[in-house]
Amino acid sequence: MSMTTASLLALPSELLYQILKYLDTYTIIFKFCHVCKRFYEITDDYNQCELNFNSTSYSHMKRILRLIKPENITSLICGGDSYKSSDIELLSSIVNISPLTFLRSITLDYVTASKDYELLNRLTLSNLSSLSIHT
Amino acid sequence: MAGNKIKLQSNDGDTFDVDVEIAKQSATIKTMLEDLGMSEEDDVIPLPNVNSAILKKVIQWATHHKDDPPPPEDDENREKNLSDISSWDQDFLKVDQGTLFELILAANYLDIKGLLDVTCKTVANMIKGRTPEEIRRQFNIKNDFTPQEEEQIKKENEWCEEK
Repeated sequence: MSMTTASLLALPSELLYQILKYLDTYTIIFKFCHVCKRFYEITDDYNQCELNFNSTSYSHMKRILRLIKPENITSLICGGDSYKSSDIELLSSIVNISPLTFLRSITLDYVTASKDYELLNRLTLSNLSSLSIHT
Repeated sequence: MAGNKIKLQSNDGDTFDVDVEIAKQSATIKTMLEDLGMSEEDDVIPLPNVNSAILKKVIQWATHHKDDPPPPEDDENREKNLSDISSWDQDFLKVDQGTLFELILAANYLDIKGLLDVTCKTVANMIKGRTPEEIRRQFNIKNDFTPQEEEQIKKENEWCEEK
């Protein structure tokens, strides 16, 4: 009966954030963000970013870290076969500028103890609610 | 308790008889019934934000999912896996985009977490793997960046591409 006018652009921001929860940070920062002004602004305020060194290539991660606000990172996933100390260095360069104040979750997967220590040592862990280490 | 029904009324005046247990998947309706002490017998619950076509879909979804375990409260451990939408839900959500977004709005208003999750996931699937231009076409969104802003974004990206 009533004509449907609902569109993605017409959704309130809180619901767009619900959708972003299901997208990886790369898609959000480099695709979604560039669609239109509103999405650009929404992305800028999005504060649930997950950095997944497991599934993101080094060069993509480098680009993400340059554009993202560090305080918007809430989740960090490191490990896997491709994990290198260069990842830690990359992350540290950001952490040194601005602490990841809102980091709530860290998952370390198959990383050596010394690397774990190195990484954890550099992070601000005051807001952490979840830490999992798989070895 | 079993077999009790309540009446839900859409904003265009249609009334639907729904099992209380099915309707209570909506946290909004559950609160109305339990906390506000609305009696199930005599009252019609008006839902001013939902039209009857969408309400019908929502009831259909809630009926199919009536025996599901309650979704986990903890959002931290939310499954990011986009491919884990059940085939029933996939078929259910083969609708035009307007309906899909109306379902998101209704799921949010009625506070039905499972329906909100699966509809948002479906939209995320439509975004993933696409270029900004493809996303615009997919959702009929106009590129409202000025040429200068476009140039700025392009530069930003090129700068990030270095090394």
